Amino acid sequence: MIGLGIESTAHTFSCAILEKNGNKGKILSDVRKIYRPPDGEGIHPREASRHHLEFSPKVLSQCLQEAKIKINELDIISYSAGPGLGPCLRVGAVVARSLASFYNIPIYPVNHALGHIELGKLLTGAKNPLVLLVSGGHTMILAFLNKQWRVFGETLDITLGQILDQFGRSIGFASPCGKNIEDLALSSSNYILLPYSVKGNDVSFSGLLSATKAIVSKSKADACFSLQETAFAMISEVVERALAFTGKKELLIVGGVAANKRLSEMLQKVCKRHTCKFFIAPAKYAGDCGSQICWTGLLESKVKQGVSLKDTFVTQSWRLDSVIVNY
Amino acid sequence: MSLTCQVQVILNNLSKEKAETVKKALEPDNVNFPEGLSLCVENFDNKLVFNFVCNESMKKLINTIDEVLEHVQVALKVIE
Repeated sequence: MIGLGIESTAHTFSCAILEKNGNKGKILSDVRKIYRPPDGEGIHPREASRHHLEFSPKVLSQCLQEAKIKINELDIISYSAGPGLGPCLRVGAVVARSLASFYNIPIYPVNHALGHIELGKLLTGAKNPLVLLVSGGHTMILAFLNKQWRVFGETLDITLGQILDQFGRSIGFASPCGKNIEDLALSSSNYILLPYSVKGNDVSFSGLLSATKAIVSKSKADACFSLQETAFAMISEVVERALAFTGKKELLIVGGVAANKRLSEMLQKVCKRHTCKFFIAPAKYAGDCGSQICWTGLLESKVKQGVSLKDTFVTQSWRLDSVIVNY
Repeated sequence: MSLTCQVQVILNNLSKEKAETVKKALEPDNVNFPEGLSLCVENFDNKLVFNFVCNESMKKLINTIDEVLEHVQVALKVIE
């Protein structure tokens, strides 16, 4: 079975084609075009959607060429239906609906967060993990039980990706800023005390952001180092508590921030203490991509015939813990 | 006194199939419009007619027309 997945929740417009044989999936192509706001500025939803509108036909065409697949050979089309930025989500949905309607191909709306998890499981081989989803849109600890992903901790305000981006932009980096902050943090080992805010098994980053901005005038490197150490220690604490509570023997990290080596290092130590296997999505597929949407659509096609075009919604705040997973 | 503005956009010379495709691609997003703004899309043989009606902010109307026309354009491009 061959599927096309379309991702357009925020910065990234991506199309991917995957082939599914039984429980195995093969990525035939994954093409992306990323909207880059000017240095020091955040994403503007309408500007990002204009970017996606401009590049979507080219990305689609390149994706089909690289996979050596014609549109009429596709068995399903899936698109990210939320959560995300409304104008960006609508672009992906319009592209998907147009193709599905014109070529009469079944269409599947996919939850973007679920896509991160399913692709992470496919690429790492994790079977029943505790999942840490950390990106610009999410900071969640999740475990699967009775057909649903249950939340065992999340952010109460901004996400881990947002704190890194917002702080990075305040010192002049262009979004996404995670890599720049990680590199600068490596040049310091001087920890400056910052607010550490874990409430129950949830985290809160907004106070940490303000406090980090307040110390940046002394040294940018010290601020980056201290920010990473504090934020990642908070995440490690709640992950460790969730591991102890759920008794899971696998930890899977997905989402754009999964690429951060310091975060991996800290979580690997947590896993070692709990004799738990550590899995991390490959850097190329940790962030937003069409493959995550395509693979989840292919999994859903095992139990669903697709949805009627009139029901192909987009929902900006579609929570993962409201999705029933039947496959 | 309130001002009501009606804008009709007509796309001519579309095949019936393409007109139907564009209509189906756009219709599911035609929900939760801001108060005072509405859109109705009709398909007549080889043309597609968009009727926008607004009795509030003209800015909302202009932005909506802008986004809808961009979506029409991308829908036609990807099926070509």
